[in-house]
Amino acid sequence: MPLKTSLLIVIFFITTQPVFAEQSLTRLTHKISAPNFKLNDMDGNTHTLSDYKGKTIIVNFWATWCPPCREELPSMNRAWKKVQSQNIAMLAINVGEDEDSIFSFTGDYPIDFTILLDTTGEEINQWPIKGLPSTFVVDPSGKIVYRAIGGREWDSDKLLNLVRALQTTPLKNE
Amino acid sequence: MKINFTLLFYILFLTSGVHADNAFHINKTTSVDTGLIEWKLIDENFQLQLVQRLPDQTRSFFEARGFNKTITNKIATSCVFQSIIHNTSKDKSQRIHVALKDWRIKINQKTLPIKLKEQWNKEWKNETVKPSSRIAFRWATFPSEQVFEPSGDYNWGMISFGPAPGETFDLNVIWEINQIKKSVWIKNIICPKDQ
Repeated sequence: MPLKTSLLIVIFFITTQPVFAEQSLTRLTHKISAPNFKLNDMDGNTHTLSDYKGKTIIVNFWATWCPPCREELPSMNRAWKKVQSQNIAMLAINVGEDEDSIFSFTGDYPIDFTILLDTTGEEINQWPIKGLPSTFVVDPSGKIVYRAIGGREWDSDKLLNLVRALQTTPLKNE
Repeated sequence: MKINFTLLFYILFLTSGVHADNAFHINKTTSVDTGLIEWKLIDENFQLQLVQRLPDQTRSFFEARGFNKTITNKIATSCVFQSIIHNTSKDKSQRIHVALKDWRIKINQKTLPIKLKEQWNKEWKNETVKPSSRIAFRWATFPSEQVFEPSGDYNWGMISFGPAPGETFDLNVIWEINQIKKSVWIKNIICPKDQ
């Protein structure tokens, strides 16, 4: 292949690379305690943060009308299948909607992990959140250690390995 | 071996990470499916997408969330765009800060601020708006101020720029990256007509 053609191919690949950043999680510089919520699930059972003490928890805030939430949730469901036997809990806290809206939504977007209802929007106010979806990773001692603003592909092992590592290696303040 | 030095220089420039201050570009595209126009501002580490929303789209969204017709109509005819901001950096030190209160529109030779969600809420202070409607409005509209970390953070939401349907305006987009202020004008943004 002539050198000029090779160079043009190289240029084409360089200039057509996607501009999006590689996905990751933001490590919190100072770990803060996760707010101890008290919320009902779809069956009316009450859940609190302390129910999950000793586990790593992925806490996702979402709504059915939020496009990036809809994009992200299938990957969270796939992630759940990977981690459910690894002492990791996943919670999808819906903001401001009722059981009926969520029930019909899950017909199209199956969610096999626990859905909690923050119908009054009071719980989300306790967390450092500006937009939906937002996701936090809480370590087994109850501290928030990672944050993701906007959707991620949660079934990526690169992401899940950060979460899995918290079981054995607690993160220290940076 | 004969080497094309122009091409080599171009490759070195692209791969060196050296970017001029004004290296941004703005793309304008029209959806084949919907006919709606999208403006995309791409700068180093920063990306903004503004997608037109038909007033009827916005009306139906807020009516479905319990707002009355007067309020939904006022929001819908305030030039609402679906907006997405993305920190596209791969460098872990590149934090982006956006404050919508700094943004300005220019229309009919006047420069004006944009209407923030807090101002909408103040307007409804004495009106009967269900708490669930207020929650939906809060989370469906773009945050007035936000930091985007370089781990793939992005956010989306509606921004109401203010002009009437069919009007055209210029938008001054302002953000800070590691406390360095950046400012770009997007010209001739069109508010979709109320069809």
